[in-house]
This record gives sequence, C-alpha cells and structure tokens, in this order.
Amino acid sequence: MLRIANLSQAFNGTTVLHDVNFSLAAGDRLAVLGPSGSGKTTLLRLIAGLEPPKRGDIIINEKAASRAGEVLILPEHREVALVFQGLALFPHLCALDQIAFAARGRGGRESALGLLESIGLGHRANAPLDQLSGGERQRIALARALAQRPKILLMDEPFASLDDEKRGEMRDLLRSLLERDETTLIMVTHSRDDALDLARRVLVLDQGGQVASDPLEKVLLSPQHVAVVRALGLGQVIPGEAFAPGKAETVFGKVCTTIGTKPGHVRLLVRPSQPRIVSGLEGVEAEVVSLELRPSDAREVRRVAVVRVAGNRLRLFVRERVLSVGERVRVQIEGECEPVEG
Amino acid sequence: MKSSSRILAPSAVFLAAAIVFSPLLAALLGTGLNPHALGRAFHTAARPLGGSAETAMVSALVALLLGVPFAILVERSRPGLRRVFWALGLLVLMIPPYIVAESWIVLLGPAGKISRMVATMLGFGPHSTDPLEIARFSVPALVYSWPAVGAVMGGCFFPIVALAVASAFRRTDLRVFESARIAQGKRGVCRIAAHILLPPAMGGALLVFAVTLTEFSVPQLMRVRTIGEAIYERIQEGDVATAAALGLPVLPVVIFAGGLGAFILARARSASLAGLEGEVPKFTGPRPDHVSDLAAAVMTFIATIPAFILPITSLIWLVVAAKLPPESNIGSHKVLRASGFQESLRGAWDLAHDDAVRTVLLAGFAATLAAIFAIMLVRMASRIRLGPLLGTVGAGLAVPAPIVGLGLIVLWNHEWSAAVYQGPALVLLAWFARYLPVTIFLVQGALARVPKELESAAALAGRGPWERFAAVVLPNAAPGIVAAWLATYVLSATEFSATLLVSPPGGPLLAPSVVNLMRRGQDPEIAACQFLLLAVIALPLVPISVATVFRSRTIKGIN
Repeated sequence: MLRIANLSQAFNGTTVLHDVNFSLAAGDRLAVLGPSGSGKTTLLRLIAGLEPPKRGDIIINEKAASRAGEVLILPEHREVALVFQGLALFPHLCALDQIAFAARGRGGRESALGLLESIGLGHRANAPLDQLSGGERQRIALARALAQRPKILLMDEPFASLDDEKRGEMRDLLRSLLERDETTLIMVTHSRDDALDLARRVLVLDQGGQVASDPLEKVLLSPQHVAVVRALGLGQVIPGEAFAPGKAETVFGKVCTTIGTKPGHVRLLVRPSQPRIVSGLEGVEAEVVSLELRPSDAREVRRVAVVRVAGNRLRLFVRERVLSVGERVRVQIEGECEPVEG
Repeated sequence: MKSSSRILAPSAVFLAAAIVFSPLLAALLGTGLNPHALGRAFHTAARPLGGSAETAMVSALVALLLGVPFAILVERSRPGLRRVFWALGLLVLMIPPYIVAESWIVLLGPAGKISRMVATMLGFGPHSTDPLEIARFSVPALVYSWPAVGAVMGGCFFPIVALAVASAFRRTDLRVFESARIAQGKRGVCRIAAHILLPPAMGGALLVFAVTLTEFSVPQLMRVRTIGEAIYERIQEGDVATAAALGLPVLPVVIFAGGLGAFILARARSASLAGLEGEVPKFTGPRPDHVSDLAAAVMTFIATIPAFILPITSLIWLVVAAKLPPESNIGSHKVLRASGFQESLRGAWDLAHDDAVRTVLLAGFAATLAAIFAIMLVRMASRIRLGPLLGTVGAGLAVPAPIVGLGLIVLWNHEWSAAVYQGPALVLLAWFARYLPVTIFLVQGALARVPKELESAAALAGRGPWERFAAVVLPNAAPGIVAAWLATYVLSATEFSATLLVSPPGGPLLAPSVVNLMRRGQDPEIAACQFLLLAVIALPLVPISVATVFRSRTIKGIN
C-alpha cells in the first residue's frame, strides 16, 4: 500500500527529516511519535504530496508518488486525505458543505449527509463554522477526510484540543470508521493514549531521524531508544557505567542489565515498577524531594515519591510506608534494566 | 504549472515594474534633462520642498492624533457599534481631499459660513446692516496656510494610522495588559501599550507623510506652494526638463519614508502576538460598556470632522440654502442664491454627465483590469517566492503625479503611438502607474490571509489548481479583493493631477473637470458637480452591499 524509502527533507539547508524507511499494508495503523520539531508533520506533508522530498521515494499502491525533488502524483490524485493540526476547515462553508466539498464524485451531498449523521452531527448540517464547538469541528474535519474515501488517512495531532473524554469518543469513532473501510492510518500524535488506542505500529522520530519503526507490541516490550521511552512514557532513563557483562554501576547503586554490554557508558531504562524503597543497608541513600498521587485501576490511590541521589531524580511507587518530604530513605532498582540508545 | 510560473512570474513582475516606473524614466530621460535644468530645478526647489515637507509633517501628526485614539476607542466598543464606527471612519477615505479642501474654504475660509458666523458671535462681525458691508466682511485667511493643508490631509488619511493600530490591537492578547497591571500597575500598562501600539502608529504616520508629500490638488486649492505645484507650473510653461528635475529631490524622501513605514508595519505585524491567530481563540478583553461605546462615538465624531462632517455639512448647506426663498438670501454668499437644489443638480448633470459616465466606465474597467492582473501576479509570484520583490513596485507611489503625466506624454506622444496617446488608454496607463502598487499590495494581503492549509485541504479533496482558486481561495479572499478593487476604483475616479495632463481631447473626466470648476470659485452648479463626483465614488457601494448580503448563498452555489 505505502512504501517510504530513504526519505529526507531539508529547508534552507537544515535537515528536518533524514533517511526514513517504512512500509504499511492496507488497513495498517501507524502512530508517528517524537518530540516537537522532529519532522513528524513534514513526513505527513511529504506523503500527502504537498511538497517534494529532497531525497528518497514515496510509493503508493506500487506507483512512485514522489521522488527526489519531484511530486509525481499530485495531491488531488493520490487518494490520500489529511486531517490538519489546525483542521483547515473552510471558513465560508457550513458543516454539511465542508464534507460535501470532499464528497464530490463520491456520493455528493447525500453521502456527506450520511457521514454527518454517522458522526452525530446531522442536526448541525447548516451550522456555519463559527457556530461549531471545538469537538464538532474535529469531527467535521475527520468526516471531511473520510468523505474522500481515501486509501490512506493522515492525521496531524487530530485530537490535540479535546478533553480526555472527547478524545476517547473520537478514538472510538475513528476506529469504527477505519475498520469499516479498511483505511490505512498514519497519525502524528504526542498522546500516548492515542497511540496505544489506535496504532498497530509505531514510528518514532528524533531530530529528523527514525529511531524506531516496529509493531506496537515489540516497541512496548523492548524499546531501543530514549526517544521511544519518552514518547510512550515507558519509564525513566538513567545513566550508568557497565563494568561487567550484565552489570552496571549507577548513582542508584549497582543494577543488572538484560544483555551483556561492553564496559563503558550506558543509558538504562528503569520501568515504573523497578525502583523500590528498601530497609536495612541495601540500596543507596536518597532524599525524598516530593510526593505525588496517581490514580490506580482499583479503588485506591497510588503514592509516588520523587527521590534524589547526587542530583539525579527517580520516581518510585511507595507501597507500604508513609513518607514525608525531606526524609532520607534507601532505594534500590530491582530486576533487569534494558539498555537504550540516544 | 510551477515551471511555467518560473517564466511567467518574473515577466509579470517586470511588466508591473515597467507600467509603474516607465513614466518616471521617460520623464527623466526623454525631456532633455541636462545639468543646466538640474541646477535651475535645485535652485528653485527649496521653497516648494519646504512647503511639501511642512504640510506632510502636519498631515502625519494630525493622522496620528486622530488615528490612534480612534482605533483604540473604537476597538473597545461593542461589535455592532464598532462596525458602524469603522464604516464612518473608512468613508473618510472615499472623499477626495480636494473636495475636503473646498469644504474647508467654503466653511472656514475668509468668507466661510462657519468662520464668519463664529466671528460675528465673538463680536468681530460687521457692525452695520448694510448688505454690502455684510457681504464684504471676511475673517483672516487661516485656511490658506500650510498647517490648514496639513490638517485637511491628516484628516483625510487618518484611517491609515487607525487601521495599522487596530490591526496590532486585534492581534494582541488583551490579557497582557492585565498581567502588566498586576506586575507594574498603570505604568506597566502604558509601557506594554506603547510597545504594542507605537510601531504600527509610527509606521502608519510615515506612510501618511509619504503619501501627502507629493499631494498636489489640496495645497493648490489652499494656496500653499508645494513641489507638485512647482512641477505643474513648469509643465504649463513648457519647461519639461526642469519639471522632471524638480521631481528628483522628493523621490528619495518619499521612498525612504514610505519604505520605512512599510518596514515598521511589517515588523510590528511579526512582533505582535501573531501566534494568537489561527486555532487559538481571539481574546476580547474587558466587556465593552456604555462608557466605552460613548467614548468611541465621540472619538468617531471628532475624527471625522475634518474630512467627512465638514464636506457633508458644506453640501447639506447647499441643500438647505437652495430651498430658502431668494429674498432671505440677500447679502449671503452666492452659493445661497441658488435657484434650488434640484435645479443645481440638474445643471451639474447637464454640465458633467458625460464626464461622470466616462469616469465610471473607465475607472471600473481600470480597477477590474488592475485587480485581475494583481491576482495573477501575486499568485504566480508567491509560487516561486517572488512575493517580496513585488514590494519594490510600491516605490512607484513616490513618483509625483505631474511627473507621471509628463512621462506618459513623453513616452507615447509619437506618430506610431497616436492611438494610445489620443485615446483613454493613456489615462488607464496613468492610473495604473499611480495605483497598481496599491492594488497589488491589497490583493497580496487578501490572498495571504487565506491559510495555505485550506488550499492543501482542497487539493487533497481532489480539486485541481483552478478549482482550488475558485472554490476556496476566491471566496475567502473576496472581501480583500473587493477592497482592492474599490480602492483602485476610488483612487482612479478621483485622480486629478496626472489625469489632467493625459485626458484625451474631447473626452474629459469628472475629477479634473470638478477641480477646474472649483478653481473658478463657488457656485451651486459647481458644488452639485462635487456631489456628482461623490455619487460616482459611492456608486459601487450599492452592488457591493447587495453582494455582501447574498454572499453566503453565492458561496454555497460555488460548491
């Protein structure tokens, strides 16, 4: 369906995307994650054909759509839809006309009305843009994109301005619509929940480079890069020195690592459940800097303490005892830490 | 498409530059300009240049004094009233400065209706009932001075400053004033306000300075010697080389002032809180109350006195006085001795209806052609990033109008170009040379305000370039494009200085006719001719208003 090969882009001599490679099959759902300025939106614009790449190829349905410096298939002929970050709804059109604009030749106003009903806005068909709420606009932008019956749907932080409840509703709506039409989704997001809820694959960009492009499960189980850990909120990364196979020294004491790393500097992923407060002379001494509360799946509150050792902070769940700020405790990282790059 | 733009866009920019600058080049190169003429011009230029500079500085100051408080107070009023106040403020731009100047002379001149009445009330009036003495009574001719010229032109162009300030005000999150107040009290509010509003105000004032520096008709009517008049005199004397040379010293000043003003405005735009545009809601600040509405109403009244209320009062005076029985007008000015308002209008229509129809058709055609050309030019130029280059065409505004007329005569007064020289095409060329930069600037703004993402969205929805333009860009840029058309139409229809020189024989246009009549004195028919000119200017407002009402339906039709 879609193949991206060695894709690079630069503006005014600054590289914003560097050697991106991935493939997607029909119906695949890819979340593109990464910090701000990592080239996510540029990637979407290149796939949409809104700008030519500096290097590399974009192949859609086995046809070359873009290659270095050239857009071979114009955006209007790509069967690709894009939900822009700012939505880009037409200020001069009412809700129904927004969707009908994209549905021309694909069922026209009748099909647009059907889509409007399916997103629960049939009663707002004639509402002008300035009378629609943020959530309604989001839904109309989504419906407009789907009205094109695209083979590939691109979404640039589509739910950024919605509250958690509305985000959940939109994700459910989107999932059902995508599954109905077997549409391929590429979604740029900063939200871990959006990615976990909708994506089957994850692409993580960092400073324009691709640091991960794998199925979601694999990325969750063994993240290879700091950017992946941060994007998906998988834990904390601490620096250390490997001194023996499977062993490393950190400011939080000696820890075990999953693979035998060569002696030298390493960065280790500490999963949320790994750090613990221990008694006796185990672990290293740390100062409690702050205390936080987190909701839990059950009817209870999870207490989190932030502790500091020699300027390095670590977050850990407090299980059995009550702590106070300023208290000195001993902490230890249990289990094996995975080394990560970056 | 893009490759054709690479050839067409530079060609179109070159064509625009050629239209705008060719009269200047022709005037400088084709008039036999020599060191002797240059020396003579520079020797005699000091006084008229001083007059131009003085009037332009007062104009800029008056525009600042009226424009800044007008913008701030009107922007703080309720939305419905705000639209009314802005409409009144912008109407000022539609009244030609020479009609404003004439109304000042009629009302505030030595024999002015208001000035004589005020002088009489203050005890300076005639102390006799002798009709002859009453008729001869006059007040000091303060209106024939450079401060008065400055006040007229500042009053005419204050909306330029007001629009610049309002634009910055609208892009500002008004909560910055609250945070400044919390941090530093009222001093903090003033500092933030100065930081946000001073650059656009100064930019606007510099533009007013540049525009009024070469203004010709107002100083001429109000008997203040300026560079424009000096040039015109030389042309009338047949000394075209010195006339061309006289245009030289004013060019760098206008280009510098106009360029600096435009630069400051561009900087102010980027420096203001432009991030608040787009998806972030616009902040409206404190809710307007009756006090802010009243303050805005009072300020609108004050700001529109010089260039709207006075000319309208002058015309209404004509209506009222013309309806009075002839015996009650004994001893009054001859405007009051009109046989009747309708008769005056009929007389004016008989006198100038050919000129009026010709003006409407020609100015409408010129504005349409200029708008279409500007749209194509801006679209092509933006595709290959030549947009900033178009700004250089704006320097054409610095060329004094008589130089434009002179240059066009030099350029086209040949046997091979007799068809152009003797026809209305020369008038069109004069208007393009003077006002194409304005059209381009306004169209550029109108098209730039349509987010690129909308076009991208339309492209992804399967629409080709022409469809994207027709269905998305045009409807959203329509208000700005209509404003560009209207501005070009009004400026062309009221252009006097260059039109006077290039009007074809037997085909006079209304503006030069009206100004020539105004020079002869005050007469009911002449005043009615001014009324006719205002009607010509206001004519497009009727279809534009109707189109605005039906706009939403039309747009739905496009889809």
